[in-house]
Amino acid sequence: MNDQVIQVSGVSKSYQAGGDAALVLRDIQLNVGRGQCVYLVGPSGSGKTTLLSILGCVLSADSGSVEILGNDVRRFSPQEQARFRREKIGFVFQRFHLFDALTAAENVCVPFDLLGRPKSSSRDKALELLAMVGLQDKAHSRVTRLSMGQRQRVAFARALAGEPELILADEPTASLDAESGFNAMQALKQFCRELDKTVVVVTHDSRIFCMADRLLRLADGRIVGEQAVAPSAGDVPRPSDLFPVV
Amino acid sequence: MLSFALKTLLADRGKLLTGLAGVMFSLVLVSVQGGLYLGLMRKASVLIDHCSADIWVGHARIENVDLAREIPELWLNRLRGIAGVASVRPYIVGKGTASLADGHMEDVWIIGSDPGSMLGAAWDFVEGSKDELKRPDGVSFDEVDASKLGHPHVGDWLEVNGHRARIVARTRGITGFITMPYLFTTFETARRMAHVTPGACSFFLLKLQPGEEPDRVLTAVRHRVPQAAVYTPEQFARISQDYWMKRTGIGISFGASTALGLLVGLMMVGQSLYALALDHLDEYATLKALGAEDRHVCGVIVLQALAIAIAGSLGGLAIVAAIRKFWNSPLAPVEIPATLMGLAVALVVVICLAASLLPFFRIRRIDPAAVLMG
Repeated sequence: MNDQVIQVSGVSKSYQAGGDAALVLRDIQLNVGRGQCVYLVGPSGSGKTTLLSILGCVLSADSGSVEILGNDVRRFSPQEQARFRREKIGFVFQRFHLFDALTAAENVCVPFDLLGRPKSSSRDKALELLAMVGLQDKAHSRVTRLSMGQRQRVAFARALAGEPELILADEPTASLDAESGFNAMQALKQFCRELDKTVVVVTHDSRIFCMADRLLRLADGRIVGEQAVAPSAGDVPRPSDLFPVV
Repeated sequence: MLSFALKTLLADRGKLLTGLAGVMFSLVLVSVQGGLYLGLMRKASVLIDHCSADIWVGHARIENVDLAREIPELWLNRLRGIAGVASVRPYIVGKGTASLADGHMEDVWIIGSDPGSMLGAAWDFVEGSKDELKRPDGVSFDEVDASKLGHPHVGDWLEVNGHRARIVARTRGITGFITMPYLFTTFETARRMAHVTPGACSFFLLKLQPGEEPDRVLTAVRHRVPQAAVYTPEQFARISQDYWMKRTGIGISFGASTALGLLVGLMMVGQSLYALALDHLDEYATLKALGAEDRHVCGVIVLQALAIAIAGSLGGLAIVAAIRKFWNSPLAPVEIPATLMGLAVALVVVICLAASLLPFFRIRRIDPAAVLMG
C-alpha cells in the first residue's frame, strides 16, 4: 500500500497579471505521508495558499505532477475535481466560510448532503462531530450566534465530516486570539491523529509551529527549508481537555 | 441542500417578499384575466349553455346564437320523423327595440320558447316563473338590465317594436356578450314582437330519446335537412364564442395583458433570485470548494425557485378565491375553473424555474479557488 498521500513533483504555477505572467510556484517537490501534519510557512506572497489550492484540487498546476492519494489530479475534469474534493478532502478556510443561515449542525451536515448521505445518519454524525469539538450544546444554534472560537470548531467539525483522508487548513488561527488558536490547532492535530488523517496547514502563526510534524518554509514560490518539529504523542492534550463543554 | 436552500431564502425576507409578490402578481393576473375571458366568452353562449336541448338546428350560415337567421318552420315535420328524436321545438331569437317611459329607446333580444316545453326559456327567476311567461304578452327581464329598461317592476308594461309587453317575471344574472337585455317570452309572442316572418323561426331545439347517440342523430338530421346547420350544444357554444373572439380580437388583448403580467412576474422573481444569489456568492464559492458540482448549485436554486413558486401560488390562490367571491357579477363574470387555476400555477412554476436560470449562470462562473485565494 502506498503510504504517500501527497506526491508533488516539479510543480509550477503562474498568474496572468496585466499581460505579464507572475510565477508564484517554481519546481515544487513535496511528499507527505499518511497521518502526517505538515505546516507550510513563509511570508505573504511566497506561494503557500497557491500550493494549498493545488493540493485541494481547486487550482490546477501549470506543469509538474500532482498525485493525491494515488490519483493524478491534473488529469481530472472539473467535475472529477469536485467529486474528489467532496470525497477525499476536508477544508478549513481562513475566515471559516460557514453558512450564516444555518445552525452549527446543519453546517456540518453540508458535506454529507453533497455526498448524498441519508439525512438521519448525517445528522447523527454531525452531532457526534460537534460533540467531539465540544459544541454539542450549540448544535442547534445559528453560527452567527457563536463566538469566533466556536465557529472555528464548527469549521473543524465540517472539515472532518464525510471522513476525508486529507485535511487542508488555510490560516486557521488568523481569526482567533493566541490561546484559542493554540488550543484549536492542538485539537485539530489530536483529531487527525486519532482518525489517522493527513493534515496540511498554511499559517503565519509561529506560536503553533510546534504542533507540526514537519515545517516547510516557502519563499518566492520555492520550498526553501524543512524542519521536523513534532512533539511526542503524549505532549498533545486530548481535545476534550482543550474544548471543555460550555 | 434543502435546508441550505430554504434557510438562505428565509434569511433574506426582503428578497423573499419581492419574489413572492412577483409570483402572486403573475398568478392573480393569469387567473383573473383568464377567468374574465372565460366569463365573457361564456356570455356569448349563455342561451345555449342554459338550454337542455340535445341538438340545435339553424340556418346554414349561422355564426352566433344571438345573430339568428330565419329558417322555415316546415322543417319541423322532417325533423320529427327522424329516428331517435323525442321532440322538436321551434325557438326564436329575435331583435327588437323597447320604448321606455322616459322616451329612451333600448335594443333588446326577444327570445321565444315553445309553450309546451318552454325549452330555452329564462332561468334563475327572482320573481315570477316560466309559466308566467305564457301569459298574453308576458315577458321577463333581468335585474342586470333594470337600468337600461328604466327600472321596471313585475306588472309594468313595456312597448317593444310597437307591441305591448307585460313584465311578468324577473331573473338574476342572464346577460349576453353584447349586453343587450334579453326578454324571454313564448314563441308566438316573440314572433309577433320581433316581427319574425310567419312560417319561420330561428332554431329548432331537439331532445333525443334516452340512450340515443347524438352523433348518429346529427348525421341523420344533416342528411334529412341538408340546408341546415346542425350542432350539439357544445359545438354551437364554441362557434358562438369563436365568433366574438375573432370579430373583436378580445383573445389577443386578454392574451397580451396576461403575457405582460407573466413577464413582470418573471422579472420580479428573476431579480429576487439573482439578487439573493449575488448576496451569497461567497457561500456558493464555499459550496463549490467543498465539492459541490453545478448540479448541486442548480438544485439549490431550483429548490429556492420552487419554494417561492409554491408559497407565492398559495398566496395568489387565496387572493384569486377572494376576487372570485367578491368581484364576480353577471356583468363581469369571473369563471376560474380548477383547470385554469392548475394552468396558472403550472405557468408560475415554469416562470420561477426560468427565472432561476439567471442566477444559476452567474453562480456557475464562480471559481471555488476564490475561497482560498481571496
